[in-house]
Amino acid sequence: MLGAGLVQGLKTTLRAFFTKPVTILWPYQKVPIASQGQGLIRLRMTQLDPPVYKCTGCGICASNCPQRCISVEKKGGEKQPEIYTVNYGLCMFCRICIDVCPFDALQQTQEHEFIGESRDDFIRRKEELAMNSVFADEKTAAEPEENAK
Amino acid sequence: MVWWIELLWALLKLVIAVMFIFITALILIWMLRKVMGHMQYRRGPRHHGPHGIWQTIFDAIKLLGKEDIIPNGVDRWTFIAAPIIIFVPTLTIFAFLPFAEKIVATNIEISLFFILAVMGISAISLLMAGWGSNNKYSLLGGLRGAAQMMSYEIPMVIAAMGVVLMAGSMNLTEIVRAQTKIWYAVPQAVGFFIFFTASLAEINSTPFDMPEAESEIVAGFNIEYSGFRFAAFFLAEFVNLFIVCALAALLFLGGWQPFENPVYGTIIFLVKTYALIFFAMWVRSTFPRFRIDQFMDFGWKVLLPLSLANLFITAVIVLVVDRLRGV
Repeated sequence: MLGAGLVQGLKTTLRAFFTKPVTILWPYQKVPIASQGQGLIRLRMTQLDPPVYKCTGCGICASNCPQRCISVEKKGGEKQPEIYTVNYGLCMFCRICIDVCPFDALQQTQEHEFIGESRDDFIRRKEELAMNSVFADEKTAAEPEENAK
Repeated sequence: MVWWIELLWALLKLVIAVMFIFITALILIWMLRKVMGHMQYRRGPRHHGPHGIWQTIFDAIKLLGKEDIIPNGVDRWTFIAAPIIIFVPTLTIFAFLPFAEKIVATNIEISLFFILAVMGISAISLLMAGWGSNNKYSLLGGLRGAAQMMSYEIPMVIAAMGVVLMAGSMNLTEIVRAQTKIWYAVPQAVGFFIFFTASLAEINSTPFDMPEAESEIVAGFNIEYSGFRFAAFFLAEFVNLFIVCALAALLFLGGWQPFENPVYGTIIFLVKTYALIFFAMWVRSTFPRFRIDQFMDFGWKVLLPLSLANLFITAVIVLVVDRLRGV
């Protein structure tokens, strides 16, 4: 019939009009990301004060990183990392570092929202990496201060 | 009355009319953004005030506060005059638009004729804006606007003539009074369709937004305009939407019928008008733009013959009925 297509189109938009919007009111609402969703990595610790990391500073993660964004230096005489930095400006969240770690020292988190004013802000040191919480909604008390810096 | 009281009274009426126009335009812009948003599964503005109702006011303030840029090489006076001229018909028409039985600023015998005639002036304004901007896209937009308005004005006026024949008057108040028994949307269904379609084209609303056509000629006639001059075009577009919908409500949907009371009458008239505006926005967020040649074909080869046939059949029926009644 003449104009049937027009009526069909009008119906479609009217249905959309009475349907709930699909947009999420970010940052007031957040989309829950899947449990396997990749975010920042977390360095696991066995002791808080003095800090003892599970990481031994072996550097396997650094040598396996396809983007070369991890740099590790071992402490002399200790099985601990002296320097452990991740440059998130380079990281592509491939998870290889977590998979290759023989000591299970790295953990996946769901933190994916991070901003910085310069490139240096995306280079995270080991202390900052240890602060990352596993779940995005699970904010630690120390974290807001850490971000404010 | 003393002459200066009369002058003040006239000025006051003018201020009220201008305020009404501005508020209507702001409400319509907000409404369009809301309706269009929800039709695209979005939400539209929502931050300022309940459901974002203040958003357009802030937008207007922002536009008025912008630097007034007149580009080098424009035809200066044409460029400046165009946004003023587009407001002239808009403002004038409001003087002749009845809102209820006695709520009309100027009641003349040929108000419908006058409104339809004055509406044509906006074509000149588009042409001036297009020519004065000295920009190829603007010129294309202006010429398209002029062509579009001229070709769609004819079916629109002829469709309105069907109503005039039935009512036997060109006075809008008389036309509404004649619809006590039946709204003209029923016997004049074809005329209503033609009138509404042609008036959408007349006000450059999508799917007939040839003069603007963002994806083809950037923004058509208003490329070079910014700040308050752009705001003038923008506001005029939305006030024209109100005007054509109000006109359609008066001619075909019985205006303020069934209420004689001015308050209820105005309310029901505005309800009808806003229902039509909603429909126009619905159409606007549904259909893609016509191609220019299809658009001209539609105007001259479909709407014009249809409106002529409608007028002819209406005339014959009115003549026969009048003879039978022995008038």
